[in-house]
Amino acid sequence: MDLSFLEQLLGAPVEEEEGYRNIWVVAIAWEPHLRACDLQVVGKARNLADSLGAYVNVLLIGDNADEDLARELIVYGADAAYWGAGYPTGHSLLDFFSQHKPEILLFADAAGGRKMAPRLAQRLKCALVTHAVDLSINAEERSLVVATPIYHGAAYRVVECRTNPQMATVQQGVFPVPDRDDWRSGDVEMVELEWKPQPPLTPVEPPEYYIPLEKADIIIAGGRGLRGAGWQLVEDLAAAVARRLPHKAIAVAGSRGAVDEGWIGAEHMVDLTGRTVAPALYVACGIRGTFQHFGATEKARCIVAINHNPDAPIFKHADYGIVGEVEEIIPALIEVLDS
Amino acid sequence: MRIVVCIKQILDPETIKFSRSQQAIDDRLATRIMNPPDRWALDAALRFKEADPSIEVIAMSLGEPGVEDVLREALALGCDRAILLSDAAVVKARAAGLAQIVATAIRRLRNVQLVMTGHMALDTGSGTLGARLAIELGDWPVLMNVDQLRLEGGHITGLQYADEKYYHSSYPLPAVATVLETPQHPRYPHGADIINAYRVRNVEVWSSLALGIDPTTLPAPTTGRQLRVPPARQLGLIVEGTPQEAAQTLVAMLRSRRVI
Amino acid sequence: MDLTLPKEYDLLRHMIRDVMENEFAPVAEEADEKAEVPFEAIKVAAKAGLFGIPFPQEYGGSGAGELGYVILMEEISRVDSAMATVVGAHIGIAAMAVYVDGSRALKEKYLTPMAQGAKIGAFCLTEPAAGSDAAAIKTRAIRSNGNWVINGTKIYISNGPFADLFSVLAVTDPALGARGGVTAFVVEKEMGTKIGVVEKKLGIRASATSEVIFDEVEVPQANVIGQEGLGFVTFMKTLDLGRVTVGAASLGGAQKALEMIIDYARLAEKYGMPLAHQQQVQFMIADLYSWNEMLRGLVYRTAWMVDNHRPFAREAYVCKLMGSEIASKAVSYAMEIHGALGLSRDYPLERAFRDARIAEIFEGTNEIQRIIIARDLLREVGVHIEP
Repeated sequence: MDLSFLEQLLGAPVEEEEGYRNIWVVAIAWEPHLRACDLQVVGKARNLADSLGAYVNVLLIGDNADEDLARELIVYGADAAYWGAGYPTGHSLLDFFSQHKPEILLFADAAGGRKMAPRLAQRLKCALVTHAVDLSINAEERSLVVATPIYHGAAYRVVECRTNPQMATVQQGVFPVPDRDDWRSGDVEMVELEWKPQPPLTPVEPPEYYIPLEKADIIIAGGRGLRGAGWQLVEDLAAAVARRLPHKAIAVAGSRGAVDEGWIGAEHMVDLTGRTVAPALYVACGIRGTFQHFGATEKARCIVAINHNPDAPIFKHADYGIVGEVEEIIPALIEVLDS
Repeated sequence: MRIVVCIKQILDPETIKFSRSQQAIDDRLATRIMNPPDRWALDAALRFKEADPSIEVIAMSLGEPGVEDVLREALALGCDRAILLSDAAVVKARAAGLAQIVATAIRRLRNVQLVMTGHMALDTGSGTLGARLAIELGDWPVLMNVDQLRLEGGHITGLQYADEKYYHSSYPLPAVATVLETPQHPRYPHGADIINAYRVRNVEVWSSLALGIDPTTLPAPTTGRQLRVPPARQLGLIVEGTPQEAAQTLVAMLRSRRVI
Repeated sequence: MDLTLPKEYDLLRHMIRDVMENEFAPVAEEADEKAEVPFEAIKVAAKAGLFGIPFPQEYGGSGAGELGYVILMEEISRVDSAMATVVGAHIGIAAMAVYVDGSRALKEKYLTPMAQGAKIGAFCLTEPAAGSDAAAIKTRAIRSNGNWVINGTKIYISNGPFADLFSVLAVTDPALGARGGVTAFVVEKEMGTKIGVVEKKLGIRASATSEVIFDEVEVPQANVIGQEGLGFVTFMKTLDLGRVTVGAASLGGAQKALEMIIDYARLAEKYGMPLAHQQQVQFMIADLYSWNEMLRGLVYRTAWMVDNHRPFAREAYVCKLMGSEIASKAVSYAMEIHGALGLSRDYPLERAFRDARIAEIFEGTNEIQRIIIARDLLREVGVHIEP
């Protein structure tokens, strides 16, 4: 995203307060490995720290936190890693950060951070920007500038943090996992916090609902272009999305072509002569696109088209298009979603 | 016991328009509605009340006087009382201060055992009020993003959603719960209750002064000026690269828009 | 002059739209195809009070008056005209007849369950020899042991096949005819009404229309609506109120047609550009919008007159006449613009087209409306035209 407009931002300088230095990241080891989302935050923090002239410190917590994982964080870009096995009480976390005075404090917007960050922010009587999709530094003010999607991603709100610390949670999967650099070195230190018992969390089956096409959050649709590749690919992609997002209503649909081929029932046909839909995401696989199809999908907040023909009209009506064979693109998407 | 449901009035995302020249939301044509996830929270609270009529459900909102409309809607749906926190200090308050004001009002009500709200506000995309309130109320436990809530034996239980999985969670009352939307449509108000919500019933208006809040002690708005940058919906962007690269880029783009 | 709707009506509209879009829109096409009334959705609508919107709350209604009723019919018709017929027959005429002239006891007994949607009503006026010429009815009610015994056949009765209660007009004194010899009754299904032929219809197929046969049906004296002999007056007053909402329903249908036209004109490309770029299409859009706005003003003003106890009968005729004609015109325009797609059974326009025609026919054909409006105006200047 182009954030050059931020240069227009003017504002009162942040009061220089003693000691609020360095970028801190809170990472969580639920399992005996680091989470990709935490590494993404560490990578972004590294970039920010370089432009700020600061260090990246990571606090690694969770039952499986240990020295080896803490050392891994250094390899991925941290300057220092502090670790403690367990879940700290809110007060001890507050004490820890009151003592270390981070200038910027980041969490992954994922289990743990999503709850811990606003609670800590409230204890600090501090602002918190959630779901950051872009972070940069306003060098003049030494302030963190965060873009976050509003109104279902129809626009971005850009916030310039003025608090100490400047807190944000970072949307998962937006930033890359940084490359390993096994030559990096840094301090690794165990910390003693006050731990609280965490009840064991066992996943349960997601609740099942009947979802009419009109109410689906995400629709994976296929068309005639699947003739060679097979309809199963559409079902597989929908299953992969459902694995990733079990709380979303996900449905499979077909264009008129797919229904004519008999791959899917007419009650699942997205067309002006079938169902008109308004999902958050509509993925059209192998659909060339007629205006009857566009009319039935244009209320979708985001449309993705996959088609081998670069001149297919669907690309003009899609937010994002991938030109290529569906039998290559869909498996690649499933792989990314499952990773 | 009492349940407080915090509801927010937002501009309907379906009707909203952006003025690109002024970098702002053009709210002349937008309608104001109850934040949809809050409807599910209200629905869950009212189900508790149906099961146990001694439960009193109180809807609470905060902001300009016009916010009253969503509280009337809450009354029409079956809430016992509706309280609007409204004055100059309230309107200016942001996240941290706002949680302080709401928590003070909740404490004033006494015997509130459960505070509920939607899992997020669709306008800002943020869902932190529940967690912030929990702190202000004295470190209450908080269930975030829950579905299928039940009240049993002084505990609130439900299916908590986090990172692609559902977990069974249970906490002793008092507690805070932020409720997920589901494909099951929440209840519709009855026509007569809609008419009465305006003609007969009353929205209580509380000011921060009446709550004994000194506006000068509230945390100052803690973020710098905000700029909304609505990029025009650009259609026809082709994601380049090998299938693997294109897939990765696409997923990252969708994430950055919070589509997935 | 303040023409803003009170806010409760905004919320009411919002709720009705929600119910229609969530409960009825998904099933409307199938219900039409199979000619089945969508009872599951109707149950949800009844729970939200949609079957008693205009009636006072003491009789189980919402207390939203004619204004609320107009909003109801407009919103229902945007989604499903067949449902507008079900609700219109139930509220607008069957229950309304009890409401306008029924005694307190009669209202408590029959209006309340109808307003709650627990019992569905049908309005029995039309007969083989008495349609728009309602005074010519033959159905006879004869006094017997303090009760009334009704014999006769009513035809084209909306909701007939599944109604629990019937508002019936019958001759009690043939010598007096319409002036004092016709009485209105509430008849329960359990009193022995029979359903005759169920019509197979071109439009409004998800509503049910049938003959209702009265064969020695015994009805208590207490079930007389209003005064004995004045039933014709009761039914005419009821129909006046019903006409306003035929206009409202037409407004909803016309509005939907306009939305479909604009959507299609924007999407469909002919000769390399969207249809919307053609002036002929623009003219249609502009005309239709203008007519809709005119109709909206008329319908809402008439509802206001009803709620504020002003004479409104002539305006009600105009609502019905103009509403039904504008709605028909609107779907014809939509058909013209959509070309072959408009004829597709899979596209909702075909259903709207079939449904629109009825509004020109029921509650007095448009020809009758014109005659009455003209005679009413002429009477003011001293010209009396006998039928």
